[in-house]
Amino acid sequence: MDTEQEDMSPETALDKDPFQMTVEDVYDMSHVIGKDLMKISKEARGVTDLVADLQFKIVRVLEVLETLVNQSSLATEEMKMERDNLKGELERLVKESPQADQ
Amino acid sequence: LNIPRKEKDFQGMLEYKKEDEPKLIKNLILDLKPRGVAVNLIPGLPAYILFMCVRHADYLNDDQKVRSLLTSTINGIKKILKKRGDDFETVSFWLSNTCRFLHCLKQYSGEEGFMKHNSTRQNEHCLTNFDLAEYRQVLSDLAIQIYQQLVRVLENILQPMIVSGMLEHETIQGVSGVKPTGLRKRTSSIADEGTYTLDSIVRQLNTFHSIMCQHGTDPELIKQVVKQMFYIIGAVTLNNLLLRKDMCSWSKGMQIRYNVSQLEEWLRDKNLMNSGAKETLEPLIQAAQLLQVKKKTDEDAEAICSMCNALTTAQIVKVLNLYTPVNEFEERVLVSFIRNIQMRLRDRKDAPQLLMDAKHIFPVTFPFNPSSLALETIQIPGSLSLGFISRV
Repeated sequence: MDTEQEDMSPETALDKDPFQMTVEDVYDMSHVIGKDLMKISKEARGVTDLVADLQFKIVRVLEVLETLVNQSSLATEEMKMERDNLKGELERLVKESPQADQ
Repeated sequence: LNIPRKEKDFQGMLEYKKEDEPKLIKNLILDLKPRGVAVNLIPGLPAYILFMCVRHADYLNDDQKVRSLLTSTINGIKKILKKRGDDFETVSFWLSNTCRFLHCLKQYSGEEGFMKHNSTRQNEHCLTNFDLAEYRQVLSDLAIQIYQQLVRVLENILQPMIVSGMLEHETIQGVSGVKPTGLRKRTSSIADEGTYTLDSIVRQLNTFHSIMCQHGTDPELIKQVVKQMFYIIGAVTLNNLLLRKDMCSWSKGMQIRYNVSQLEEWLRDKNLMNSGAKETLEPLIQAAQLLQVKKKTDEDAEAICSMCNALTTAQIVKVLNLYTPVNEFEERVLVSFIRNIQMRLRDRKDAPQLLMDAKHIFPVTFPFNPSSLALETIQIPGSLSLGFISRV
């Protein structure tokens, strides 16, 4: 179970900085948009088909967003690990190297 | 000018080849994450897809295929709950989808009693060849099982928070000055120096509630879950009160009443005042009042007896016996006063029970909840990896 969900309201996902976004935020957005669409099709029965069409286009857009967010956070994570590895390596080399330029 | 409509009007059915059935169960049930773009945007989507597959098998008049699909579906749900049955999100997800599937089987059964809220188009989508009433019974039993599992999971999560958050943690400084917990403060962490507070409990309730809402759980079912959670909180708190001398003082009574009022505010906030959840706290509320009222005169005894109608005689006497004055303005309860109470309650025919059964589960019901969703508009999102099934 999560302990770090600061604000429970899924609506806040829409206010986030795109570069801080996680896939969880994308799922929250899905929920929020889904609720709105459901409200529309309940109140305006005549346009259900149009709303449904739009709904699945939005699903597609969010799937794309999910993939991109996932990929970019993975890439960042990889780069961070690589950077930390290199840092460690550098420190090790500096320590081990005989103090050549005394 | 006429804009041409879609190349094809769909009938709201889904077709798959028999040999693809295991793949269908795998992708739609076993491997499906309870949180994702498609299932969050359209809660209940797996249930609708499964039902649309049933519809096509029914349309083909293929009883073998219907039977096989329903059996695999039920086994698939059982399997995922065995594997991930301690995860609240997974259990909640399959509880709401099992209920939705059950609602679909009713809504489109062709039985008039279930068709009252259908549109004409929805009525055209009813099953035509098979009566699946027996499978509905099996699914309803499965839903009961999942519900009980959900209660066990949330109980395991709440249990360690309750005594600490409801009884031990002091949110009121001293005896008089009420210093609220900062319930609304977003920054406080779930555990305050490693101990749980009322705030931790409220956050946990928020998490549970939010997950169930995102899964599109029936509002009537959410109410029952919340009532069950409140019962657990009340029973565990009261039982600890009855077992610990250091919990029976005037100021603990004050503390409990404050905590209960915060829980009530949570119910009001979530529009759950009619869930019956508040009523399950009644024994605890009365025990807290008992800690606070005067305990000396004949009139006091009479007042206690009429106030504590949700507590057993054993519980009332126990609280009075454990009662410990915290300051010089309070006095111990005299033995003669307790005798007085016992005499007055002699004719009450109540159970000799001291502790509440904290494991008790209220029987659950799943009232029929038809959906206005139009099956013919459902498409299969790419992220579900169900490219091998096609719309009919």
